[in-house]
Amino acid sequence: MSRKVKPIPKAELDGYYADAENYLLKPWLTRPLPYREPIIVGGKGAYFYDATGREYLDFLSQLFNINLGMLNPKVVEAVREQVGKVNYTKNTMLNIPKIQLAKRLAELTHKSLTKTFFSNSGTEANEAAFKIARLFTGRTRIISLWTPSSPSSPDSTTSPPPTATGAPSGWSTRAAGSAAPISWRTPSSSKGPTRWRPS
Amino acid sequence: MAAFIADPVVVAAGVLIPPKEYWPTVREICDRHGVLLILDEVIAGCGRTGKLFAHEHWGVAPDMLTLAKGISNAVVPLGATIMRKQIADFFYEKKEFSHGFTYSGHALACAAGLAAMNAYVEDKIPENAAKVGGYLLDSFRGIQDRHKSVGDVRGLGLIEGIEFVKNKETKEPLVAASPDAPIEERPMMVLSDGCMNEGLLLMPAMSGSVLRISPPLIITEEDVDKALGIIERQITKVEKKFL
Repeated sequence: MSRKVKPIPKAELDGYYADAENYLLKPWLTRPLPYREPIIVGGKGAYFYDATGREYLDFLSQLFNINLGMLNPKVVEAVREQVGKVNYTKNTMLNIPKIQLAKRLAELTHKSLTKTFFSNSGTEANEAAFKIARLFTGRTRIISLWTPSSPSSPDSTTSPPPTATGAPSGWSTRAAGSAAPISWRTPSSSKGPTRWRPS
Repeated sequence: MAAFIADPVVVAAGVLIPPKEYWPTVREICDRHGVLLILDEVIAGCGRTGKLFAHEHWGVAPDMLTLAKGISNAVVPLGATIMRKQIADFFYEKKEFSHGFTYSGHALACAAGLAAMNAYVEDKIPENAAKVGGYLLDSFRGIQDRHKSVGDVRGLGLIEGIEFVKNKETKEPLVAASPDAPIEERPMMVLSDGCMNEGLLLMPAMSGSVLRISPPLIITEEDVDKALGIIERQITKVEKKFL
């Protein structure tokens, strides 16, 4: 139990869980009731707190994304400052943070990479890349890594699966797979051969 | 073929770190066939592997680089596709890039992105990921020596994977690729649930036998010690129940 946040009273908490059950479609693994996923109400750095006041150490960066920890003061302040100036401009118009970030990315990445197209997520960033690649080369197929029946793999393909997305209008989408580099399990592994085979 | 896309450190397939010749070879094959190389650094980028961008470890440059997640520290959602000038110019000179997102270049997202990207550099975040990541990997090697179910530990900076086995000799995985059993009968879920009950958030391995570790890049060696104490206790419990 942490003293960093005040626990929410039980009746209120029960209300949130009832509402979550009635009004949310949950993705990924769903667990049988009465399992309760924590409701997060605060956090700082690598630690976060749930509605009962419990403290957690985050070894996942929430979902591989909060690299600077929760409530990084520099990022919070930048958003706070921007929200009072301009919240949104249409996609073809310019705003100052858009120009500044594109320039900064050109400076920080390899010198051959200079121009940026912005979107809302990694999925969209990859879809845009597929579409750009197809239009630029005039070809359709995209190769991604693939781990057939691999015990290492949560799915049959790795991220990102080039599915039927990012195709220019009227183009057919085809994907191909290339084996992922599984060093530990390759025959030449310095750690010895894999004798087990998937059945 | 239009393009080859992959994450330089293949996280979803179980945190695979390709050997040093892998990316230069892929680059060379792509060049030979006029295929564009897209590197997906949505997870591996922004300091995660101990360098600002993961492909720097292999000394190759992609034709396009995709970023998201850490780019804005997740304060506002943001994705970015960064490309060679020659590719971008194609759309000015030859063809319209008809790909409209209502929120492309959202002012709040880009303000968060600029502040986060500056923070990675100013606060030497990749350097901390490399240092603490090295300590984490060494600590995991200790756990590997002490536990018969820990087959392999691998990582680069603060993206690390622990692969569990039934048998270290044969490398038979602890669980089948796609288990279809109740949660309490699935060793990897029991492990991550046990850690969560002790106050440690990990990525639950919904299938497969690899635990993926990806803490914020600001963590300290003290945080690592605390987390590994919990993980090792839970590994002992899982081994008692399932091995």
